[in-house]
Amino acid sequence: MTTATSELAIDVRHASKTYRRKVYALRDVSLQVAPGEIFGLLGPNGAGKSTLVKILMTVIRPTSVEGSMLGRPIGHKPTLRWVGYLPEHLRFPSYLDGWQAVSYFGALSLVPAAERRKRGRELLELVGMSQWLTHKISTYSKGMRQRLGLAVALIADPQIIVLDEPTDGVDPVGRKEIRDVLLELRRRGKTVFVNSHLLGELELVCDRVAIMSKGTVIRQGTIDELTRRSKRYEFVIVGDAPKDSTTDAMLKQFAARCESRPQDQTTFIELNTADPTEVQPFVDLLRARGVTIISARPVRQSLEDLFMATIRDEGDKTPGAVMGNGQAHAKGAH
Amino acid sequence: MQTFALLLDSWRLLVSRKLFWLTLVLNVLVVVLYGSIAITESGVSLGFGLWEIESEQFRAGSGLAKTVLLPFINYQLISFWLAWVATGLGLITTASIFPDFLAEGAIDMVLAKPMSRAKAFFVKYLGALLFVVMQVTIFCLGSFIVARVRLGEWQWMLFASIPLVTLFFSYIYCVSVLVGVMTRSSIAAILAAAIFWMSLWAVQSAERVTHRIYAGFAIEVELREKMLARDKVDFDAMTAKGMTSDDNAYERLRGEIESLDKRIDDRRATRDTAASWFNGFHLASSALPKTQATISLLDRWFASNSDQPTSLTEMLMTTASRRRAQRDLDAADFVPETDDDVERLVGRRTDARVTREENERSLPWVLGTSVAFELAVLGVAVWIFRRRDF
Repeated sequence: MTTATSELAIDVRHASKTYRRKVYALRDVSLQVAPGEIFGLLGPNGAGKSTLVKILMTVIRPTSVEGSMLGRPIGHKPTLRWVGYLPEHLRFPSYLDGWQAVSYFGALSLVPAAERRKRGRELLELVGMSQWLTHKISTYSKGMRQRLGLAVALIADPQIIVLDEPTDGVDPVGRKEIRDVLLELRRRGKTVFVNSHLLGELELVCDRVAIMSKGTVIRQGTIDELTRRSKRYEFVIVGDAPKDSTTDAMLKQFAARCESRPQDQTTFIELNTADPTEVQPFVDLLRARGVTIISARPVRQSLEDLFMATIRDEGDKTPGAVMGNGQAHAKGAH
Repeated sequence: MQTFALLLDSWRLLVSRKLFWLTLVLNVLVVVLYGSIAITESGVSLGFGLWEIESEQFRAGSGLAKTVLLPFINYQLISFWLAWVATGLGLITTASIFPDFLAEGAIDMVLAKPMSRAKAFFVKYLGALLFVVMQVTIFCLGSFIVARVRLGEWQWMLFASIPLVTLFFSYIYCVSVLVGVMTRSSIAAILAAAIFWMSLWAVQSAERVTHRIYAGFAIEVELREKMLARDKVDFDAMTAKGMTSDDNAYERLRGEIESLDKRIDDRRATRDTAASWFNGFHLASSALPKTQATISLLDRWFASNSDQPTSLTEMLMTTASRRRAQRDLDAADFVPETDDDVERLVGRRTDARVTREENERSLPWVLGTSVAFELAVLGVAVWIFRRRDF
């Protein structure tokens, strides 16, 4: 994290939420989001992602929390004027039409009527809902409601946009459009905080991510930082890999960082290095031994692989005594 | 801006409900029905002339129809229709407002706004009261116009029913809101409102019944004490005249005095038991909203502004019988001669005393204690709402 604390858009420290009967939804969670970045919050169901988001939005009262949002303490109501929010399981009043919903929630965000009219039309255009302005929300599909929710989240021209599962129920075309909207928001200098379990979606847009499990943040950083260790080169060659590594010093040196598996008439070799300069001698070595290289490409772990590996490691380490928000509610948290 | 937006949203919610329109149509129908009553040369005409009821007392020119019948119908309509039917429909229509407001995914959108939870709660509550204000206003406006056409006068007092009926509704609705906030269930909210309303009715009825019993026995004791005092004077006079137990009249009077004395003791005991029951129900009623007393304020104000009847019994009394009853009531020093006299007077005076004592309850007491209860219930509801995680 290179940004100074005072400049952070969101700075959560030691956030905890314990429901009755010692059900822990969050345990000492800390994370930082810099202005103008898209920050992704990942985690399996029940990890505490929505609880954290709801604490930021004052929907849930934390057991304890420190830190700030836009420079004001977390939970400071007037600051929410500058924060847009799209909740999970969004439910609009069905008796409103699209335009009325945008205008209603805009008014609750203290947006003047003239501004609501102007910006509302632009936003509904942006999310592809301008044709549905006067239709009752009860006639909308789930994807259309999500798009409308996005427009509502943006009506106050917020500095931070908090999106809880924004692509939930949205078709692939809609997802792409939402991704484009997020990128456009970043381009305009907005901070976007996305909570999603669609890792592929996040990987395409997020600058930084945090992975949560069982109420705690287990890893956070840029996708590059988190996957650096997994970077490697993959080769496919014709025939078998060279066998005389015991006699050749250079091959011996590479053998420690190589894994190979035969595949039909070819062999698949993984070289564990992220540095292309280190790869060149290996290529030279293969070529010197007359090996035909079919392909050579740099690869890194996908966010999904990273996520699965992290959760698996965490599951091995931590005893499961923590429950997520949904489970906590079911356990009589009120 | 936020307040207006929330109220506008409540308005949109209400007009989207079929029950809103159904209640509105019923209100208009009742007003039209009232407007269809006319006084003709031969009596009373109903349904814009569809039915004619011949009546000597209620016909054009008799004066009684205009001064008694139509105003009576007018105010009884408000007392019954608005206070019971329209309020019942209102409670059903508005019961889901808070459960819907608190539903997951809906409440998040409101709580995440720069607005306190208490403000959101109270404005939403006011929005629900809009339903009643709207319905009662439309009803009153219609009745006001009909009263002008039929009676030839502007009955401004009709508009007093708007705040009173709204208060009446809010006493019960606050319980519906509390249960709605606690359970997020519309059915539970409706059930709670119905049970609470019935409980109020039961407590208030019990209070009124025990009040009548207590007042009846108290009046009987007073009357019989007067009889006893008179008999004792007569007895003393007989003794002074030198009459003894050998005289039949003397002995009969002594027997009557003993019997009366015993009966008075018996009635006093019953009166005291009735008083303790009445005090218990009165105490319970004091802590609860006074629904009947609130609506009765209309009758009270109406009665204080005219000499027109406020009850069915009173309306059906002829002028002569009313005068006779009034004379009996006014004669505070009247001493009954027989048990029949006592029974008749107890019957007449009990109603009058109960009504007088109820009317003596001050406006701040009737409305103040009721509103205090409502605020206490809303206080609990808003406390839960403010502390709750969604």
